[in-house]
Amino acid sequence: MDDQKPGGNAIELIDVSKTYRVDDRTVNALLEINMEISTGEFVTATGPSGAGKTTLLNIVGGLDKPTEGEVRVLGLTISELEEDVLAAFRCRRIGYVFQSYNLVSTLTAAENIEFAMELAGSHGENITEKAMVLLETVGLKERANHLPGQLSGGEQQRVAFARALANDPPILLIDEPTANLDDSTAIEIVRILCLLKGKAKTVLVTTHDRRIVRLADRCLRMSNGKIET
Amino acid sequence: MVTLSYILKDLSRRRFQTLSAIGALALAMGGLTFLVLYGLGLGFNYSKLPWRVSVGLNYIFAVFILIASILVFLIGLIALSSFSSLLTGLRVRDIGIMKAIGLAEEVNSFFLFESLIIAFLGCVIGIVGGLLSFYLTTVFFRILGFSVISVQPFSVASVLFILGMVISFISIYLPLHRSIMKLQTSNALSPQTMKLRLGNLGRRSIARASPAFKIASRSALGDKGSSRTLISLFLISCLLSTIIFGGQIISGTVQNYVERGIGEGVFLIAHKDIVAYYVNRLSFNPLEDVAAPNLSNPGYNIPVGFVDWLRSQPYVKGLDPRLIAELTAYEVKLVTPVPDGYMIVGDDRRAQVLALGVNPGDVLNDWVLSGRFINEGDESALVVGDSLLDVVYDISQEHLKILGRDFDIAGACVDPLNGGYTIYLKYETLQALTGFEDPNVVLVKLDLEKTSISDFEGSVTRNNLELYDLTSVLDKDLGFLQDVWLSLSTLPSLTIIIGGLILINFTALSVSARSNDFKVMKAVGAKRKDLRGIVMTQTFLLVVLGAVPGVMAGWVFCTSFLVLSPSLPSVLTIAIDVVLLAIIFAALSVVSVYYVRRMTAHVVT
Ligand SMILES: Nc1ncnc2c1ncn2[C@@H]1O[C@H](COP(=O)(O)OP(=O)(O)OP(=O)(O)O)[C@@H](O)[C@H]1O
Ligand SMILES: [Mg+2]
Repeated sequence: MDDQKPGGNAIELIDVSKTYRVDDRTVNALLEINMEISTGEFVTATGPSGAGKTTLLNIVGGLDKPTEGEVRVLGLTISELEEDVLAAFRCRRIGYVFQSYNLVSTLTAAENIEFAMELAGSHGENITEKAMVLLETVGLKERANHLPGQLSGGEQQRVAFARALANDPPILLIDEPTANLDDSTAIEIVRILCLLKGKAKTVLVTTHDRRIVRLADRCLRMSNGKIET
Repeated sequence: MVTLSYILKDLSRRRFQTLSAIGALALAMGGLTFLVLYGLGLGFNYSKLPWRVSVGLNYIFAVFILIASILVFLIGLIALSSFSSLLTGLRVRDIGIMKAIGLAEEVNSFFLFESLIIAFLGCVIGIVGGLLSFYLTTVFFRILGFSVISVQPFSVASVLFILGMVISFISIYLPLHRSIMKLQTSNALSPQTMKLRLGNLGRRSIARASPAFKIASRSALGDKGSSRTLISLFLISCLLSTIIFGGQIISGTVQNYVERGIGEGVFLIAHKDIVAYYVNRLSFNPLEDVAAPNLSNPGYNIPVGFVDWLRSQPYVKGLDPRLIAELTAYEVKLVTPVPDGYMIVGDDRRAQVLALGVNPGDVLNDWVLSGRFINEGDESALVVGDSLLDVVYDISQEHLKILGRDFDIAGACVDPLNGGYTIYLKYETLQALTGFEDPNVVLVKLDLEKTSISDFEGSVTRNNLELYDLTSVLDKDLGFLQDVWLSLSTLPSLTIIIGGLILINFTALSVSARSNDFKVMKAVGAKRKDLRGIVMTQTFLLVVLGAVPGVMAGWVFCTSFLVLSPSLPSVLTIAIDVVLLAIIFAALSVVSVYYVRRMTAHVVT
């Protein structure tokens, strides 16, 4: 498949704009963005609050549709795909970590991970084992049967990482993973990101954290819905 | 002091929730207003009615109106308090933030005013609607030719308004107030406000189930809010089915009582004056009150020879000669000795009654009886119509005095004749008391395969008598009851709307409370089908565990406690009811799926 082609573009945005209408004012969350991220690249996006970082991730992940422009991910023009096709695409190709509220509140840590694997079509005993292995990588094996409400913010974030990796997706989209965390917890997250870099995945992280920016192959700077050059 | 404009903004931005709370309250208040006015004009005031539905039948209607109004009001209350607890659940964060920015008393007054506004609007809209529908019904009744007792709608409405305001305000505000008091600001602002109780449910029993089922079952049953939802669902379904089934049972039972009281295929033979009088007394809605002819007039006698001739005809299946007379029945006070003196039971009440002398073995009616009917040996016992129960305090102990003679009361029957003001005693006894000689009324049942009506009518008219088919007056009476029932059935439909609205709101609100979960699931790659599956499973669980037992409880209540010897609705009717209920519950899933779709259309992080 395309996504294995070294040097090809994993993510490509052509003249992408996203406009919100609130009452009779329009907000340009993204304005004529052109961007390419090649396979295996680790890219960070920084910028002030309201610059459009979260919007950019949502559009790349197909959670939001652009108002204008074309979004290509792994060779697919996802801005034209139907909801359900997009869902199937996200499920295997993209790992998502949100800024907060990452987990289904009625499922335990392990079940949240298993859920992602079942959506991708895996079943049976071995997904339980696999979920435990993933939890071990993020250092939360003992918390497997805790509900999100019984986990700290950092622990929830790490479970979200484990879940993002569950289906071994080629692309990871991560929104401010350390923003709400204290220093020692943040280090854990940075450690996990380091591991990802070794796995040749395409990663797009929005962050202000210098420790993460340092890991990046490239850093995008955003303001007012645009990428500065 | 929080300004009113904030409160109004808050209410209008949560338009859906506000409108559904006001709507549910308005429907409950409207139903209550209508029912109370209607009940005052028809059900409760039976003795003053221009028509002559007997006290017993009126009582059944009145009881149903009463139960129904209480139920409608209860549904409204359950709805309101569940709404407000759900709303409060959604708003703990707002409350926490308001407290965090330094509001204390103001948080309280904020929600206090909000509750007041909702209660006020709901009550006003409801009462205006109730008054309107009462007037429409009155007009409808007038068009049908009935005179309706005038009630004072505005004084009733103002009492209801005050009552409704107080109760609904308390039920909206109290849950809010409680959680304002209880709420720790830090809790409200912590990332996860919803605390699940997993217990046995989560861990063991469904450990092997799919994640989708786990999500659905834990959302439906896992936390405290959802057990409240389950209880409300149970109660609402129970009330709904009580009203639907109960209404049909009441209507069917009353009709059955009347059918049995008049008899099927019974013909009346008497002088034409007596026929006019008797039929008028059997009709629930007489056009004019026919004065009693002088019943002692020998000209009204039916010759014994003719009665004997009738008895010998092969096509006469049943023959019930009667002596009828208008009398006054007096209650006889009962003096019971007690250790230091005596005790008096009863009073000096009296009633104008129609007395019927009958041969116990010949009687063609099959009334619904409490106690027993008189038999051949009962020289000094009688059976009373149900309206006389109002005149006598304790029929098992007291006596009635007629023309100076004391009688025991053997039983009471639900009697459509003379508005239930009847007494039945032995033919010979009434003959001796009144001095009347021959019967003045004969009821017959004919075998119409062996004769034709016209042949038979010929032989009747040859004796200067008239033949009258009581089926026609039975049909009119049943039609009248049907009309009464028709206007009463505004009620089940009202309740169904209220109940359905409430249930749909529950679903929508519980979905919106979990919007974040749906966002996460979508990001992980859940298709619409998966989300739909989860929501449907959740609704299904709620329906199976809350609604189905509720409906069954309602059915058991209706069939066992509502009326004496109930006539159950036909299988077809029950099937229709079940389908109706199923449609309501199906609407729930549709609504929740719709809300999930709306909720996840935009990702808000
Ligand atoms: N649903 C929405 N409706 C209206 N405006 C929105 C919506 N979502 C985002 N915006 C606007 O779009 C702009 C970009 O938002 P976005 O969340 O992408 O910013 P961000 O760079 O992620 O900021 P932060 O660092 O604070 O998370 C903001 O100005 C925001 O107000
Ligand atoms: Mg953001």
